[in-house]
Amino acid sequence: MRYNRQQQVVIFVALTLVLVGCTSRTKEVIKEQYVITDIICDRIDSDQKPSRDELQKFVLGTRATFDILKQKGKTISIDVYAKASTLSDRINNKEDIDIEELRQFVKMTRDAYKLLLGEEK
Amino acid sequence: MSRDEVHPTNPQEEMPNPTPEDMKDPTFEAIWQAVKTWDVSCPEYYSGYCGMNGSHVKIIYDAVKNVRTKGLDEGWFDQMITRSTESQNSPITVKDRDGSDLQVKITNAVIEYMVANRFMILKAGRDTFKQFLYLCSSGQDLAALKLIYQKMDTSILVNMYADNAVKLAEIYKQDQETKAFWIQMATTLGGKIISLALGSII
Repeated sequence: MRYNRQQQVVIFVALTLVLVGCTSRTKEVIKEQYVITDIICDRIDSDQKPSRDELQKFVLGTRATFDILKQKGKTISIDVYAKASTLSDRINNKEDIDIEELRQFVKMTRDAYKLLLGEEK
Repeated sequence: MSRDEVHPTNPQEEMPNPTPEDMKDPTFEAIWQAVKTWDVSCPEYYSGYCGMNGSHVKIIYDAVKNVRTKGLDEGWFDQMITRSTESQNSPITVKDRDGSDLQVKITNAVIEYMVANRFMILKAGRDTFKQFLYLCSSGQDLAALKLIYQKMDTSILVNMYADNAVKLAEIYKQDQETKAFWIQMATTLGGKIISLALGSII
């Protein structure tokens, strides 16, 4: 079975579209994650301080996100990735975590996303 | 405690009084007719029970009015979605912060975003949403997202964050499945091409 020029073009275009579609969907979610992190960071510095529970939930979500992004070959700073892993393990083990440590982590996460999006602020 | 023996629980705040306009509204009258024989407790203002009066009706009336206003707020959203879908790629006019008119083009992607984030956009309000559209159409999507999320509570934001992590995991899973499909496809096609080539050589 041979493919003529037209069929080859159709296959090539379909493959490209699938690849582009997958990349842009991920980027869209990363963008949203970055914006949410950015706003939570701003709130930490303002009167609307997130509670410890909220911050812990945030850490667990971050760890899951970083794991996925790493598997997708995205560059995550080793420091922030290690911190996310350690903190989420400690939360899962019901260890007490200083709220200041959680806040520092949210700020680190914002910088990691900024780097990921190549966003100069 | 007998009827009408009440003590204020919040001396700083008095119960609201209906305005002459409120009393002309048939809704106000309908509420009054339905509840005028009741004895009620109102812990936000007093302890104990007393007969219904205009202030009680005013509290219920304002609550009903708020629900109606919210309904109208959702109306503008639906209208905008319909208008945007009908006039795909033709610009609509929105007001900028300084009051000048801006031409905004609503793409399919923005319409999808609007539908998916209905709750968030309604919370942000109409004027903020117009700014959002403007930023989207000028390619400043990060600033646009920030504008919408800015109006949300921290707890809702954190929940949204967790939801996004789940969404990302789903996308990743779909991508893996797509990749596996194409690898299988390429292997099958490659095998066929090689066997055809070998066949033609032999």
